[in-house]
Amino acid sequence: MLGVGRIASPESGRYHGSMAPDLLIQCAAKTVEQTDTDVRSQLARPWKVVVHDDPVTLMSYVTKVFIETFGYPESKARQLMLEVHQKGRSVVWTGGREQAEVYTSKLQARHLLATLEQVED
Amino acid sequence: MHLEIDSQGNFCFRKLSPVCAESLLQIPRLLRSKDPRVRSRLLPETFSDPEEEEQWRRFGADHLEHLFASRIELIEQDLRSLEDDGERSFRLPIRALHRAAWLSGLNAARLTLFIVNDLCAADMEKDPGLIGDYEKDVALLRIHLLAYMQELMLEGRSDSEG
Repeated sequence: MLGVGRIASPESGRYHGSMAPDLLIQCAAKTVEQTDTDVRSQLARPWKVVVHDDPVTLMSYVTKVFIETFGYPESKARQLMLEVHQKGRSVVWTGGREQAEVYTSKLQARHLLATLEQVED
Repeated sequence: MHLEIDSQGNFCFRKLSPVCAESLLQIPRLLRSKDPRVRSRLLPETFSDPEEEEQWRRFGADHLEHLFASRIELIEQDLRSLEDDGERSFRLPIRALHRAAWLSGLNAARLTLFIVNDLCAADMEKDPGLIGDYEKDVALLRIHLLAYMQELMLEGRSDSEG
């Protein structure tokens, strides 16, 4: 979006007036295409549900919430809980944004400190 | 204190001490805390991007606030049954259907006590009475009492599931 705005903007002295119209159109089309690809790529990138440590919430409670929220077996839930406890945070689920938001909301409803992060390129 | 679970999964805490009963009665007030530090812990920042965060708050925060409010009502319903168990102890029946509300409510009450009393992670490792500040020591005692009840409910459920 930023690239398209710069080319189309008459205020932009860097591009305006120094390019032939055809070249300008080609550049704009290429930028739109690139922007479209960027947006698609951003939308396609999965999201991580991250749970952060807090000194109050019981470890047994965190394990139980993981089991009840994600349907994880107790061993996996416990392993993730220990990662939260020892490393300060753990990525407890990765996937599509909509489902990641549902899970985050469920964890926050149980008062776990949960956030959402998009997976890096 | 001990916990009984009947065949329908209803809980009943028995032999609750007066300080424990008093701590339980404080839960609704704690859960209604308007302290901004408590609100930001119970409704934490979810996205690093401010626009995403604003959208999340617009659509998600209301839903959670309603959930928290209905949870308080369920807890209050059960607290109305808190009664004398004889010999300066109390009993509290908790309906099976209210289990999730209680587990989360106990957690929120503990978090609130921790925040409003300016406790830190190191305090959680101490025995109540050793912080040296009366208010903080009482808060820590209540946090541990409520944790013990939460633990008993979690274990009770595990047993009945097993």
